[in-house]
Order: sequence, then C-alpha cells, then structure tokens
Amino acid sequence: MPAWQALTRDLDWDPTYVTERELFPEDVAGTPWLTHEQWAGWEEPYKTTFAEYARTQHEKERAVLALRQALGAARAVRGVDRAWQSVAKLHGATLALGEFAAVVGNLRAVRFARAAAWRSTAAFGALDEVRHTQIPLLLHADLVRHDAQFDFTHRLYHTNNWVSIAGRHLLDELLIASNAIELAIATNFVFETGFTNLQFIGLSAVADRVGDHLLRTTLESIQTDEARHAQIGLPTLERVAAEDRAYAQYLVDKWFWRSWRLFSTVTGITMDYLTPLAHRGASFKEFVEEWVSAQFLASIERVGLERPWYWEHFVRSIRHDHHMIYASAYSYRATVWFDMVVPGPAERAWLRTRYPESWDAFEPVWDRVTALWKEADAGVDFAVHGAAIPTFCNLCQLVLSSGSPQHNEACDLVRGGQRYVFCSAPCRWIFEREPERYEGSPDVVKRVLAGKAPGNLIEFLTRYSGLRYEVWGKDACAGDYPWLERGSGR
Amino acid sequence: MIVPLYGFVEGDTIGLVVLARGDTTGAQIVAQLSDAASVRVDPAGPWRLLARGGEVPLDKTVEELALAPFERVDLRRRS
Repeated sequence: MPAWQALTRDLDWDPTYVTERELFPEDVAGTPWLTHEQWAGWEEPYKTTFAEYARTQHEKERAVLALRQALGAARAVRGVDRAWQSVAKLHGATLALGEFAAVVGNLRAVRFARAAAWRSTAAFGALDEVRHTQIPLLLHADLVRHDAQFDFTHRLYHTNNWVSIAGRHLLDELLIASNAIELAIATNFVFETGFTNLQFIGLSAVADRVGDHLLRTTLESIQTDEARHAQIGLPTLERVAAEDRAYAQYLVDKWFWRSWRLFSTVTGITMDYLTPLAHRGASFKEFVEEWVSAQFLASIERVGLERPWYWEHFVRSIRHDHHMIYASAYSYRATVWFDMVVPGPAERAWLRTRYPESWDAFEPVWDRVTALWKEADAGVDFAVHGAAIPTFCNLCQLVLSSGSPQHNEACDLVRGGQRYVFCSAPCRWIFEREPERYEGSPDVVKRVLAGKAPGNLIEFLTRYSGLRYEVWGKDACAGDYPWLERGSGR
Repeated sequence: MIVPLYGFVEGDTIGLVVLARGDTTGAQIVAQLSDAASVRVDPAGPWRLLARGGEVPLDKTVEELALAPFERVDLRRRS
C-alpha cells in the first residue's frame, strides 16, 4: 500500500461522542446496517490521488475548451445532419441537470457511505458530476443564439414537459432520495456500469462517424469519469448481497428496469432513427444484447444474484419498445424540444433486416404517417400530429408505449379505491413493492384532470411544458423528403 | 360526469385518453378513439370494442357497462 493511502483514501476514525449508528443512521446510510468492521476491506479497483485527479481533469477540460475555441460551437454543429443534432439536444437536456442531481447523491455518499475508501471515491464522483453538468451547459449555451432548441439543455428540468416529469421522477429517486447503499447499487452499479458507461462509449463512436466532434469530445470526457466512479457499485453490491441477498436482488431488479426505460427511450431512438443511415453501425438491439445484457448478467452472476424475474419481458422489449416510443413521439413531436424524421424506404429496409421479428408491425404506422404527409403541404406539421391526450405510466411517467402495436402491455392496479395504470408489469411490480413511495406522484393525465395542467394542447405546450414555436419539435425535413412523392391526384 | 378511459387501438403505438360521459355509447367510444389514433392508424373500421377481456355491445353506454375511470378499453379490427 502506498504511504499516502492511509492518510487520504483510507483516513478514518472511531467516533467517541456518538455511536456508530447515530453517526451513520440507517435511513440515510442504507440497509442492511453493518458495523464498521463488516465494511473493512471495501476496495475499488482503480485508485487515484487528488493531485492525479486534478491533473487528469485539467487535461480533459483543456481538450474540450481547445475544441470549442478551434471550431466554434456553432460551426461545429452547422455541418452536422439535422436529425443528428437532435441527439445532442436530447442528451444535453436529459444529461446536464441530471448530472447536477448526481452531485447531490454523491455528496450524500461522501458523508454517509460506510467505508472511508467509498467516501473518498464518491468525493471524486461529486467533482466529476459538476464537470458533467457544466460541460454541456457551456457548450450548448454557445449554440442557443443559433438554435433556440439548445436552450432546453438548461431549461428542461425547470419545466413540466412530460419528459422532464419522467426524468425528474427517475432522477429524484435515484439520486436525491436514495440512501447511500441504494445510491451505490442503483446509480453506480446498475445505471452507470450497466448503461451509461457503455452508452457513452458507443455514442461517442457514432458521433465520431457522424463528424460531430463536439458531442464526441464531450462524451469521451465524461465517460472516463463514469468508468472511475462507477466502481463504487460492485464492492457495495457484494457486501449487501452477502448479507441480504433478497434485498440486493430487489434493488438490482428494480433499478435495472427503471434505468432500462430511460435508456431504451433515449439511446434506442438515437441509434435506430436519429443517426444518419450511412453512419449507423450496430442496431440498438445488437448493442444492447452484446454490451448491456451480456455484461450485466455476467456482473450479477459474479455476486451470486439471478437475472431479474422479468428477463423475458425485457428481451421482448429490446425489439419493440423504442420503436413504439419513437412512432408515438414523432406523432407528438411538438411536445418535445428536438426535431424528428420519418424513416424513409432505405431506413425502413435497414430496420427490417435488424428487427426481422418485430419490424413488420411498425410498417403500417409509417405508411400512415407518410400518407398523411403526402396529403399535407410541406411544413404543415400539425396536419401530421396527434391531438388527443396520450396516456402515461403511474410509475415511470413515460407514455404507455410498451409492448407491440398488436398488444400494448399496459396494466393496472386498484389500491385504496384508486386505479393506477402502468406501462408494463415490471413498473407495476415496482409500484406494488413501495406504493407509499410512489402514489403521491400524479402522471400528466391526472394533473390535467385535476386542473393542475391545461388540457388544451397549445396551452399545455407553452404554459406548462415551457415550449414556444421556435423551440418545439418539428419534422426535421418539414415533411419534404426526396422519397415522398407529393401532389398526384390533388 | 366525465369518465376518463384509457384506450388502445390495434396497430397503434401509444395509449390514448377517451373522455367519455355516463351516456357515451360504445359506438361513440369507437369513433372517438379511432379518430384520436388516426395519425398512426387508418381509422376505417369495422372495429370491435373490448373491455375487461370481452367484446362490448356498441349500443351500451358507459354507465350500463359500469366502466370506471381509467379502465382499459381496446379497439380491435373485426376480421
């Protein structure tokens, strides 16, 4: 052990004025409550000193700033495909202030985590998350005067946009409300090791192929931090699983599903719809099967846990759910802050080869959208747009778009005379395990019916969702696609 | 009294809210729901209306069917 380690990473003390239980109350430190000795030997594989950390981060920030100065943010984005720009807008908005919530979560671990090394690693994690908030805010602030949609990188979580409601519901529980143990398993093990670390690697490779140097550099700068502080998860899960296997399994099952819902929405539509066809590599399904499913199963088997009970449902959802979400979101695109495209014949042929077991069910939906665009004049977005109120899940707060066009997997639960509706059986199961934790969060429909949100679409968009015409999502090509023959018989 | 129902149209990708009243008939629910989904699904019928796992007579009202707020109804194409 290096000499510095005992005085820094491993610095600890024996409390004398209060008991250990008072110093680390179970409510905040987490369950199971183990003694100081039981946490001894908690070990993260990759260790760093503060001096080394500051040196590395300084270099990474210099790289981001050098790119910003050399290219100019606006120039960097101007040449990039319009649909791909939506990827930066979608990720920037969901990421930036979400990472700020992660600062709070990490600081809780800095105070209440049970091992000195864990607290020390979480301190670096908190500093990491400050960077991850500031980098997209800085780079996208440069772009707002050229494209107002980038304003949502800062605004999203300050609005009641439905994506914001869903994002806050997840991130508040994940990062703000969790105790140190649940935070480590949910955030560091499941969310970061299972999803975001891999997502950043995959997405930065795609950004490179697309020529989006700004997004590539941002993601690379963030990913190396994620890989380091994600290490908190596994040693914590090992201890919890050894002490209370059922609880460890519950946390893994719950958070894998909650993380998956967000991941399949954001990354699924990015890889299979918003990435220009010429730059696509693996499909989202192939990526998930290789990098998420296989790695995740190997990790949980290592600590003696089983695959989540809903695994077959999860495997089915890889083939369907993000297609369901994208078609739905496209037809409600004015409710978000980024533009979308209709998949043309070449894209649909690609999707058919990548999703032979599910794509045929989505063909009629895009045939219908295409037919409506043929009837409408280019640029008249609301001629090809939904007007009815969509339904939302009482747990994840996302739209009820799980399952397939033949069978939507929405299900319900009556409790205390109230009917709660869920996008899927796993979301219902999570709610049922801790109903008192979730029943006070009304979804968008219940907000509208209670008079807390406007039912009128335009009012809903502008007053409630923080959107205005320049910002709300449109068809990226204004419905004017080279493959869409308009005018015959009109 | 408004009875919000959660409607799912065969071939669609999202559930939609149907704001029914006690005297709204099954046929009116079919019309409202198929129109609401028409941006993604061809609204031309004929449709069957299903609730609680069974087909619902289109002339029956929400009150007669005792449909409760947020209950699920499905539109399926009549084959």
